[in-house]
Amino acid sequence: MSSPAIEIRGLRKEYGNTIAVDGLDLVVPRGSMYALLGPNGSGKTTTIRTLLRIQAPDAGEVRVLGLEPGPEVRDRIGYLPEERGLYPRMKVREVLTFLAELKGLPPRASRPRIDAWLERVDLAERADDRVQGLSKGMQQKLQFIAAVVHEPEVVILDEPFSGLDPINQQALREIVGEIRRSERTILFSTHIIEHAERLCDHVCILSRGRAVVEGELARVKREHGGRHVGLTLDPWTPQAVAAVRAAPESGRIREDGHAIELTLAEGADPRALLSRLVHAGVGLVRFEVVEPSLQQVFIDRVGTRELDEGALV
Amino acid sequence: MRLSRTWTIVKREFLATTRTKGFLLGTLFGPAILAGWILLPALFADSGGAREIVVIDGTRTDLGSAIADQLTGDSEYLAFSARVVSPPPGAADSVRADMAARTATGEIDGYVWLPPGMPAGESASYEARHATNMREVGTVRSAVDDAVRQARLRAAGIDPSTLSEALRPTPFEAREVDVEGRGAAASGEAMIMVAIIAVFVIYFVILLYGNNVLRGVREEKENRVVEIVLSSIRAEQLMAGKVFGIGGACLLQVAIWVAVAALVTAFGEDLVRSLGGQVPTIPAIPLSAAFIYLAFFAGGFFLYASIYAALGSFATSGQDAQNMQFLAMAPLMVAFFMAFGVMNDPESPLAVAGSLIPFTALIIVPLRAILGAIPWSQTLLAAILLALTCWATLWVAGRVYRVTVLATGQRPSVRRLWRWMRAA
Repeated sequence: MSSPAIEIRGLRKEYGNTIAVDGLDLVVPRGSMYALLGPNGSGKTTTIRTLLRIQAPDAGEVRVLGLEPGPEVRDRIGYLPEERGLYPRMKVREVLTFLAELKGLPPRASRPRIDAWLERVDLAERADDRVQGLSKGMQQKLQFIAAVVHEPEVVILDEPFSGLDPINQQALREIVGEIRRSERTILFSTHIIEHAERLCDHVCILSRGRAVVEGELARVKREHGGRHVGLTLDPWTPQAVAAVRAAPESGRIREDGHAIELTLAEGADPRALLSRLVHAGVGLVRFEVVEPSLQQVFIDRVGTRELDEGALV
Repeated sequence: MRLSRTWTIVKREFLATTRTKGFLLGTLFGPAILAGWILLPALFADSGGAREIVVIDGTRTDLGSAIADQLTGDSEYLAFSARVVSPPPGAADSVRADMAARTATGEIDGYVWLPPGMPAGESASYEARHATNMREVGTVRSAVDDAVRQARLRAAGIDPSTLSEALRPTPFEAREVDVEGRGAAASGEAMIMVAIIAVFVIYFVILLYGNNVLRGVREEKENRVVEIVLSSIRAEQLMAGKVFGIGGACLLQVAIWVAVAALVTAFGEDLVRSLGGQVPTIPAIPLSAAFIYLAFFAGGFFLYASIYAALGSFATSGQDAQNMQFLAMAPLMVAFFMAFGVMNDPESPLAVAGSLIPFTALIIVPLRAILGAIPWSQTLLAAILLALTCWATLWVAGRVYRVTVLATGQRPSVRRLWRWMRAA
């Protein structure tokens, strides 16, 4: 059996008195699209930098493609950092050739690949322009090319959609999908839950440097399933909503128009809740036990405080 | 294998430095200074062409003719055409007024007035259109002086040519003797001039290119490109590539300066003389001294450039970096000023100490080598110490670079930096 693409055990990293990553464990299977989800400051970027040995861990073990992160492994990883930058005075093709060479791809081999990628992202005509003359979105495309031009086995994308307009976001999603279909592993770091839910098959939710949820997305949802109930009230009245809230089986409630998504209280039976609401005269047109959204999973495991802080959307 | 990645950085930094307008201007700057040194004095001195003047001789002696002869004969830098007018008694004032008018209209460039009491000590005067031209006034003053002195000697019964022969300066030349016992061919004065130039070049080039390294690191850190580069290579490789790439550009520029100077000296002498310039006497520098100069220059550059790189990564803003430059500049300035003491006595304890301290050796050892005043044993020891310090500094600076280049916000304390370095 082949080793996982990425394996992290007990990773710890401190900056002064701040603990950025606190005993993190995670396993990224080969060929998966793995979401590293968490609010700003939860330890995503530190974890990624440790994977690439840009920073050394204080404790713990990190393996990429079965090896300790070192020179041999680095060439097999592509990286799009969150904080992006390029040499502004270099020309577009020059900077891509340089970054490809740093990944072990000689200029003769990188040239046709770079030209093909520039064509693909509509930047072929700007190949001889200086980077500083490009828009922020165009520069971001160049950085994406730099991350994938050497055809790495593991692609790490840290907040890849930030700064892109909707059209370019869609174009990037399509390219990421193609990479995914070529059996390569993608580690996708984001603070946007919707992106993680839509694109990934595995997820790790980080909170204050710890993994609060980790594994296959479907399994994560299954494990959190059976405890979430979707209701639609008709007629919707304040009394009906109050009856739902007052029921001892109800836990956390989220209202969305006439629909309500609630988490059952610990040990509560959804059938008991249904019976109680019917006897209370609450008009129901829908009552179903539903699979939780990733956002609901996050709220259940982390709480709403970090959502309220606006760090996660 | 990984060295090739460092080479990739070296290439990028070399090209990024040499392709700038600043590099081109800097490369031209050296030869321009050389050309200016050789040609400008002659060109400026020549401004205005030959001077046509009149000597109004009121002394009724042959003093006026003697001065005119002196002036027309002394044409090394400025040519004169002089004629003598001897005004009849009582007409001197009108002749002077006439000459003043001609000077004002530009018909002549000026006139020298020799009053009747001049042989007894009355002051002569020169009224001219270019009376602020030091060379012109100096030449006239010298001609008047010489003519009066010769007249006085003759009056005292002394033949001026006999006295001139008696007072002829004795040729004298100071030659430095190599401490290894080899006789040096060049004069001491010429050697000192070369040594001063050599010291200035090391000092200013390291200061200039050290700043380039610091600025490059700051820019990489500020525009965040450093993170994508560090995902491919180690921070130490990036720093070394930067130091060697910019160092290569620096050595190329100095090599171009030296080559231009050598070409001018070797082939441009006739051209320079035809343009009115003077080719400076450049003493032959022993090959060993040239080698020592280049080796210590390169070693010193890498030593200081790695310090500049570490400071650039450590600083949290451009202003912070400017302030911290002093940490690198201070030892370099000490070496620079120490050099002037060493020139006076290149075998003093100060010179020996300066040679063995790697942060000053980069200037003191080449200086003593040019002056032929350092034994091989000291050169070798200084080279070993410099190489070891270079290696240690590159290592420490690499660690500092690695742990600080991604740090933002407040600058870490030295204690925290030490902790990071131990953990890295």
